Amino acid sequence: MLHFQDQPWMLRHGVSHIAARISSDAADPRDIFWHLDLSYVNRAACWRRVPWRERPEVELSLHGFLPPERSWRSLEHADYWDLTDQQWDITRHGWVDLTLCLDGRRESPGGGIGLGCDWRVLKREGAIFTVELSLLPKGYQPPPATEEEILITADGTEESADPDDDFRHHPDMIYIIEDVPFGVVTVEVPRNVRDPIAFAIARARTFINAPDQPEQIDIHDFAEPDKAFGRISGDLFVTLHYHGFHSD
Amino acid sequence: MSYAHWLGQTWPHSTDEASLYVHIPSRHCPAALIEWDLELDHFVESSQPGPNGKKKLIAALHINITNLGLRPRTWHDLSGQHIRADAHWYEQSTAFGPYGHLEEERFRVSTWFEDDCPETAALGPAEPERWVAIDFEIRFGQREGYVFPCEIDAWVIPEADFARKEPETPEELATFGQGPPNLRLITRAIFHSGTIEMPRCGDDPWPQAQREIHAALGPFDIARHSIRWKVCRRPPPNDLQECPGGRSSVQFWVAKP
Repeated sequence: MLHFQDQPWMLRHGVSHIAARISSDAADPRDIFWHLDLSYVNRAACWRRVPWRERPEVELSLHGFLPPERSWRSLEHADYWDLTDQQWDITRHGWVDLTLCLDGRRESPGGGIGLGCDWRVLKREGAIFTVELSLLPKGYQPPPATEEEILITADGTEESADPDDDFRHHPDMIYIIEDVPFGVVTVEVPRNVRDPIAFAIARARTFINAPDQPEQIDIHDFAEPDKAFGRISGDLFVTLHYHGFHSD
Repeated sequence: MSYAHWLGQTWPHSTDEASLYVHIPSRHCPAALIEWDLELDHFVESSQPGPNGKKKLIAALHINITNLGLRPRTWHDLSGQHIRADAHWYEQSTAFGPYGHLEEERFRVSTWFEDDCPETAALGPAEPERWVAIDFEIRFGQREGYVFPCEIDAWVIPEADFARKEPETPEELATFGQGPPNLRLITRAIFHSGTIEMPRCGDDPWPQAQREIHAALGPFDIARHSIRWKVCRRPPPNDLQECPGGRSSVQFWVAKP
């Protein structure tokens, strides 16, 4: 569920997932490029006659984080919430690329520079991770801490005001709590390997302790056919799908 | 039996019945939503037999409603369901399918008329052939076996007028079904068949699929099933090939009493 600009949003299945990419020169689990991709489209009824690709859209990619341990399962312990600027390590906690398409034009707040965010995994069930993420709007400063404020509701009762309410209810605040599947692992495999699938599975097992039996395996060869003959340069891309639901 | 009233014309009734299809996503699907679709072909035969003694088809009305937005606990609970496709219904029931697909036109109608047939002139215009209903109502009656009496009122517009660039205004959203409906149907909807998406579960996914189907929909008899393995991408020359033992889509047909 995405809270943003007081609009209803719906998750695009399939493209929203946790994924990892193992390059051919990866030598250590820290070399693995992890990313969490989330894509949302406005679900308000007023858009029902507009083709969905032309509706307001929010795309968020959290790149470059590392699981606390070698195994993909250890992502369930990822908790990078309320870190100070000094604690934030972009090479461990990741950075966000945000793309908004709200008025018919795409823009990236932050000018294409990765944004920091608070994020953590609340729980894991099988291959589904419940992820919580919040992103400060550009230039927004949370209000300074003040004394407890008392609010009087319509029926006359008194309630304590939550000092974080202003921050949470800022219309441009991005707050996400979502069940996200793991996912897809893409392994770059040298072209002259005898068994690309076995090679890819072994690499995934070595670096992220991925299961031996992916749900589905696709091999992509992006080399142009006329140039591929006799060449050993240009890797194959073996995509291991570890989740029974998505087909990207 | 099917009774149809189309664009102000009452069509001859037919023996056609609507079919209800169910799609069950993989149990691994986050926020898995079971989708119900309804499909009806209402055919019209010529009043006079042809040279071979048989009556030939001269017109057809094809209705296809995807994702009725129903969340019955079991298939029995389709009884008494009432769908009113207003702005609130669209907001609540619109969701991407398991593979990132979104159906924008939920209620589609297509017509077919035999060329140069004077009898079809009384059934409505031959053009356009494709229509879309934005506002519609569906009422399911009390279940009899696998059959639900069904009544449909819809306000259709030509398909070409459906898609637009700008969102609808609050005033447009607030209106529902202005004037009498230009499509009215009374028919019987039969729980016909369905599909379930299965994760990798061995060479025969059917035993597990059967358990999951009944867990999702409640008990009913299944006449037959077929398994379609998902295709995997391989380098040329075998670009796409079926992968037995991997993911599958299992189709099943409800047993007729």
